[in-house]
Amino acid sequence: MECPAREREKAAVLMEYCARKLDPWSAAVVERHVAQCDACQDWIRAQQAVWEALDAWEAAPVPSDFDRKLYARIEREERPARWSGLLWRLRAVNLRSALSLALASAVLLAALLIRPHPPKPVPLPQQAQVESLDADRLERALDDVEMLRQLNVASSSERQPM
Amino acid sequence: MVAVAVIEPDAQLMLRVKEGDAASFALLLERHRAAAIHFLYRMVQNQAVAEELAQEAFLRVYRARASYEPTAKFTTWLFRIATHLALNSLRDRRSQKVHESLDEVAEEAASRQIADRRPTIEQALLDRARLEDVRRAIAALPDKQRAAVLMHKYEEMEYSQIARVLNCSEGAVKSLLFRAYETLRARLAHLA
Repeated sequence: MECPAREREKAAVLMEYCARKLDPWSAAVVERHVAQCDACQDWIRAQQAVWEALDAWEAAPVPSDFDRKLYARIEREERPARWSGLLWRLRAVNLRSALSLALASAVLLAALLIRPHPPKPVPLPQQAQVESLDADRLERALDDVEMLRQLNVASSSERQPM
Repeated sequence: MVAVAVIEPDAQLMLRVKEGDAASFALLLERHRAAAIHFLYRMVQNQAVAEELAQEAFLRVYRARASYEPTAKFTTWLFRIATHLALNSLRDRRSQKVHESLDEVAEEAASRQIADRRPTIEQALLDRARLEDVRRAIAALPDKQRAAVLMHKYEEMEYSQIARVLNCSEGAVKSLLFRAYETLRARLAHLA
């Protein structure tokens, strides 16, 4: 076995040995080499010291309100999305309502426009008016002539000696 | 013979979340919240920021549920999001000169973390100093090396998974880890 302590690429074996991650066969090979290699013994001793020092560094316990805070953040984040979804739905409903209202208004207006109206006096054409006016005048003139004739008859009978 | 792709349990849960199953999201949260918070705490070394980032990570998971496809392990995806958030936060905070507040938080965190284990005041002070050395040594690592070490050491992730989280090759991960542990060995040699 080549000395892993002298080669960066092969030092991973020693790191794994110190971390007790090697399989038994590989660990035995390393131990045989280490038993006769001062450089590897020093390397392992120093690495194990680092390993133990790192072991002493325990992280703080997880805060009890971690989940509550996380779910609150998720809730806060999802709320605008829900509101926008609701607004979108409302907008869609409003749009549908507006369209329905516009359609209903159009139908109502059309119905009002085509509804039968009460008959209005239809103005006669001007020619007919003239004709109607002339007939009246003629009638009145004839009446006047008849009145004159009767008046003349009456006057003649008064001038004749009795 | 038809090959059937085996979907890991977490991915199956996530697929149920995609279908609107809130209980599956709660289960994923239950399984991975501690790992996510601890990873982020060790990355940014500020409890409040870590919690905030962990919430953001799970929020992003929830937001992305509709487009989720089980192309990788769920934890790879979750830690990718978490790492991305942590790296951004570190970059932002670095520009805001937060070292003072980081020290305050570290003091408070250190006292809390060793509170139950102090057999004597001297031992407690020693533990506290030791923890502070570890914290500072980790904090001094370049961001990607730090992320790689934390995933390797505390999450016990394989190189391949770390590579997918960090979006690099397995060789690059080994190189990152080698350099990171080399630095830590030098900085923490006095603890040996």
